[in-house]
Amino acid sequence: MYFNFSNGFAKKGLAIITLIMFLQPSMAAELAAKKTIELPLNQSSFSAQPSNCIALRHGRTCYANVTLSWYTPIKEDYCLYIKQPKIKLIQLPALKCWKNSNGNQIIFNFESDKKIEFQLLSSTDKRVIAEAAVEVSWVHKATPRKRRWRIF
Amino acid sequence: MLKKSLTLVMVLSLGLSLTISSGKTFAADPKHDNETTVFDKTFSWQFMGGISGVYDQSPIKGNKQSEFEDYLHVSLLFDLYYKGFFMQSNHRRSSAATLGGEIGYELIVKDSWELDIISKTYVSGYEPSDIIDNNDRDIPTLSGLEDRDFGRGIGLRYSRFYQNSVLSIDVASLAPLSKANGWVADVFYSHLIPYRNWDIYLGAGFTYYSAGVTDYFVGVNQDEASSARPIYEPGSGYQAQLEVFAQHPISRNWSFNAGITQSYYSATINDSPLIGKQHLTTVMLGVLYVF
Repeated sequence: MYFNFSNGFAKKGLAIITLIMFLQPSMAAELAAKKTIELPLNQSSFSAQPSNCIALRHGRTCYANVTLSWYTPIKEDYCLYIKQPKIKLIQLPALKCWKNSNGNQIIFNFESDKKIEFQLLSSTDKRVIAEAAVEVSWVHKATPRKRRWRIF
Repeated sequence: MLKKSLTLVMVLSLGLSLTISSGKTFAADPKHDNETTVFDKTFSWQFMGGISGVYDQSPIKGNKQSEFEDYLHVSLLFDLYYKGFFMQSNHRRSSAATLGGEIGYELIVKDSWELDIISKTYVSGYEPSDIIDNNDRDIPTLSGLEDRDFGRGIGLRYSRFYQNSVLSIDVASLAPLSKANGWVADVFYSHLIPYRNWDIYLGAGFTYYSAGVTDYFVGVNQDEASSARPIYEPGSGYQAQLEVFAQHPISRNWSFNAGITQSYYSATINDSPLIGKQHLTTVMLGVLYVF
């Protein structure tokens, strides 16, 4: 069902409300938020930004250029992996490895319809130093049958 | 000329479609395992609000957008599905009042096609006195003309679903629910081209109006005839449309929408003394909030 506002005053009022909703700080923060998991024992940090990839419709693949940044207090050899619980990390190719480094960042070309978790590992003993993740969400959560509409 | 323009736009659209879609063939418009609109499923709903700026040419002679409000469209859209019954809004359309609303029931639902009984407004009406008021000047072709009410109809819709496209054909009678004593046949084909997080839809539509419908909306009867408005009986007519619509997510609840439509009308409609613009271009830019 559809409601259209032909009254000018009502239109302006609704337009202002819409603008306020559009500029909600929580929403702006959502776009900029970093998902950082800090491990207090070794004071390492690892973040993925944006932490949330948004596609239009439920089930659709989401695309984003995600910046993965990490820092550790100790210079060492590290590798970055995508976490896949059922597969041993050793079997997976690393996204990127660094020699004798204590911080760096890469741009990851995110293409997925599901959450992806990343792990920073020490190359020497395969110890997980830090983790970060990118969630996937959709504007239209409902899954109706395909419908198409004319614009005018 | 019209034929040439139509062919050119269709060839360009097809070319664009093939060029863009050749890059990615996956993750386009998947069929969901748990479609919430099919009649053996339970209740589902969706509520949305939209605000958009619209450049909307009117075919009616003398009717022009002038005030700020004429370019601003604010709308609330509500969809409801319950055991085959549906009440759904036009997610693209942010103007033209009730043209967006559809009420119906799914008679047959198959994987690749569907047959619905449907009721919706197929032709927007107009109130000549309101148009004259809004334009702040006399429009002789509209002065003293009777209101044309919305052309709401009831009929059948056949929809055919392809991987990234939908073809729908409506055949509806306007006689039971409106003053237009006629029927319409409406065909619309829409093809989705996904490009990263963008949805780009190319659409083509063709609507046939029986003589009863065109007579009511653009005809002039003996009682309405004047020096500026001779008697006119158009007979049957058609509208052909080509459109491009694009949508992109902004945040979890907001999306950006933009669209352009080019409409063409048959000579029987264009020749009416009430019609001023023969081929219309309409442009829309807006945002949609999904609750």
